[in-house]
Amino acid sequence: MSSADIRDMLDLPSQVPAASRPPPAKRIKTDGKKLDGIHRELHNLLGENTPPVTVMQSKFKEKPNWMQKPSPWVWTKFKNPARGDDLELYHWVRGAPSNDEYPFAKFNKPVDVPTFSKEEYDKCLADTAWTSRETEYLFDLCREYDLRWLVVQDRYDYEPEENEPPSIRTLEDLKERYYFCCRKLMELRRDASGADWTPRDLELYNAMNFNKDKEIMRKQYLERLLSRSPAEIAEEERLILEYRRLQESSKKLVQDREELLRLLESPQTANTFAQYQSPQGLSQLAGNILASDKNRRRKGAPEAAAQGGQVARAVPGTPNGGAPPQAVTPQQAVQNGVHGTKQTPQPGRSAAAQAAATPAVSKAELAQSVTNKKVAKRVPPGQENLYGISYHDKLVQGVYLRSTKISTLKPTVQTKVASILAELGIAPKLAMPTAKVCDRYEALQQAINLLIETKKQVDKLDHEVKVSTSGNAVQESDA
Amino acid sequence: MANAPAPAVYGGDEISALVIDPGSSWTRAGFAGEDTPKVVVPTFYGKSGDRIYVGDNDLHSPRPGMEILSPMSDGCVSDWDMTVKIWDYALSKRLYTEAKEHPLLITEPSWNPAKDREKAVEVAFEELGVPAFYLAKEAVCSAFACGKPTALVVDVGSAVASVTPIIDGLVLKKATFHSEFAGDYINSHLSALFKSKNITLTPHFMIARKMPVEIGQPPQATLKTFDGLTESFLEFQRARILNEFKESTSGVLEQPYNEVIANIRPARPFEFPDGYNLNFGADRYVTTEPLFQPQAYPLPDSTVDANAQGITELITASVNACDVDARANLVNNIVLIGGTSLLQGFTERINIELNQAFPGMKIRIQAPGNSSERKYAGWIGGSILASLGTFHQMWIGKKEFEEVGPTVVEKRCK
Ligand SMILES: Nc1ncnc2c1ncn2[C@@H]1O[C@H](COP(=O)(O)OP(=O)(O)O)[C@@H](O)[C@H]1O
Ligand SMILES: [Mg+2]
Repeated sequence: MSSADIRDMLDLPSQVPAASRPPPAKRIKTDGKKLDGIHRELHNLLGENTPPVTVMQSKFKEKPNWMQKPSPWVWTKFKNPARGDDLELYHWVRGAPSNDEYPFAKFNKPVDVPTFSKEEYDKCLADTAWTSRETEYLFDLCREYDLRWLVVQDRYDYEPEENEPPSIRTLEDLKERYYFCCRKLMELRRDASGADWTPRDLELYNAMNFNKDKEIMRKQYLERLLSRSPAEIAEEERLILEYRRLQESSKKLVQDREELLRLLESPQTANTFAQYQSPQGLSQLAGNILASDKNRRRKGAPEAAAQGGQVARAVPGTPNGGAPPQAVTPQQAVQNGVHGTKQTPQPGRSAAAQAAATPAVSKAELAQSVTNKKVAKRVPPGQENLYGISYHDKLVQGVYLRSTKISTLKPTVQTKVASILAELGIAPKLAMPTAKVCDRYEALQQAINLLIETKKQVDKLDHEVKVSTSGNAVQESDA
Repeated sequence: MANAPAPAVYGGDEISALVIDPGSSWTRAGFAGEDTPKVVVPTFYGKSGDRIYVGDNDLHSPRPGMEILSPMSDGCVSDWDMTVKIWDYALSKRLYTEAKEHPLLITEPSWNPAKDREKAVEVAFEELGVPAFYLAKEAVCSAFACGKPTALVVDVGSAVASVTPIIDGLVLKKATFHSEFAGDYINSHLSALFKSKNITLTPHFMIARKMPVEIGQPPQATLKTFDGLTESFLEFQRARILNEFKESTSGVLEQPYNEVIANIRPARPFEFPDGYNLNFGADRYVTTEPLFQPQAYPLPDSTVDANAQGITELITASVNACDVDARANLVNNIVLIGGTSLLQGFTERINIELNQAFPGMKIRIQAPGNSSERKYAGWIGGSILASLGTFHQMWIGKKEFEEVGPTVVEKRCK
């Protein structure tokens, strides 16, 4: 019902003359072609612009094309050329029957088993253990079962003639006879024809070289392998696991060693170390290192250079105590040198380790004396305690407990150290942490740590020695 | 579309062949290319005077004087006339087809004697009038049904349990073993058990009405009376109850039977057709144990041959009779089929015992999960075989049979 109708009913004059009414909205024209996957109304809203992508809705099954002509299936006779007879079977074929060869006939591939004549047999195949009839029987079976030896042996049921001995043949007997005959026939035919073998023939000839004894031995081995008891299998698995573990650890050892050698070689790669073997050479090297050390420190860290004492203390105590790489390297070299030199019986290398280690020690001494010199300016040496004076490289602002400054070790190491301290009857917390007590306490901790490390190394070496001696014992008992 | 489409990858080419798998308890028939047999009929016939009855309906109708007999013995056909009647019934009355129009594939056990094989060919061409025929080994077909050309097929059916090694689709006859310790043997043990418990088996057809009773209480059922029923008919009907019991209640322990362990397992109730019901505990397991240890569990008042072997021993013997090169491959491809292998726990038990017997080899047992694939494996494999394009060169043609005679089967069906 429109407003015009209501006006009409109520006898109201129509508001606007019909002629001046706006024409109905024109339908927006769309392109002639139908759009996929989008409603027409929605598409119209897009106006002139065609959308860059159309939303494809998954449709149901495609409408079948009813207009297409159905292709008929025909119940057709066919002959299979793979058959010896002309049996005709029927199958369904689409479209008109064709006269093509049966498509599956091509899969009928017999194995090539040679045949031989009576003369050929007498000439080269005669054997006391075999008659010509039995050989023939064997070849027939091989042909029938396409050289599937397991089946050939299973079906082998030769009935000897009266004058023949009964034949009991193993699989190896059969194989040996067959391949022997094949090779002999090949030889005979080559000689008869006079032509040389092609490479393929030669390959075949060599492939048919059957070694019966080896085959029997292989089978015996296999049988033994398959009849192992569960205990033996478990033992074997355990050994394999152990072997893997050893392999892994020896790989790690080699890696460690390589790392070590690399470190040892890093200071002098170009020059030989022969020049440092004399005492003069050594002191010269020490001087060089110290000089380069100083240079570097001056360049790299100016304030560190001003406080030489810190470095000096760091070097002999904690190997990783923030010392520059130059100082650390020989330090570790000494530690690792214990097993490094032991494992590598190369005199050159161990000499290098010593050559590198010596300057480190002398350098530490030098550094110590430098500090001492500075101290000597103020109080006579050895009397600092007397006067209650101590010197600090750097003072921390504010108040702190001295005991908080005791260095802590790695958590795993710390627990071990703590347990040893407990064994020694020393409380883990210092009752009276004076400077001296703290120092001693720290030294003790370091010493324990060092001992633990050493013990670990010793255990490891012990184990290795044991493994290699037991290995030797096994080899000896095997030999 | 003028030419035939290229053969698909699976190489099928249907020639509308028929496949029959005659088992000791069921004969299965259907068209090649289908995945289950369309027709499954009991391999039994009823004989009353001159009249012969075959098919479910006739066999189960109580008739005075009707004897129920089996045409099979030791898994092989022994009564050919009756077998042909059963096959003819299955094909014409149930499949509504004529053997004359279709090539026919029949399965046979691996130990089928030569004369029976020749008889089968004769029957097919002369009595059924088929255009082409093939006699396939049931075990080979079962292996094909599981997609394996090389396998150790363990088939535990009703009358026979057999183990057959197969290499490239060919049976190793010298390493094939079979025994009677299968489904029917369990039935004998079950009926001995019920007898010892004084439980009378009243077959379904005799029950007119029954009332529910409490566990272990005497049954309250009204029975129908029949005159002149033969003992073999009653036995056949009682066997149905025993089969029901086996399928719903029986099981196999994972280890050699041990009363303590068997008693720990939850008991299961079983209700007999007359309403009598009882919980069965250890008895569920002790009756299946003869499959594995025939000597230790003989039937009452009888002894078992000292050489008798349980199923695991059969498998072990078969594997060890094969060449050492084939063994690892065989035990890695064990195919377990046959209705009795559906017993709860059977596969696990075999697996455990084989792992003990061959600790050095990797055992893998493939047992189809679907029960019809287990019971009909032989038929399904035959169905696959008879619809392969490459197989059609193997059929024995009618003309060939006429020229060569029945011995053609030895040459063709290896
Ligand atoms: N679910 C089941 N549990 C136990 N036994 C079963 C089951 N289903 C069938 N059977 C038994 O399996 C046997 C039939 O197996 P089948 O392989 O068909 O034998 P056949 O090939 O000899 O006819 C029967 O003895 C039947 O009782
Ligand atoms: Mg069967």
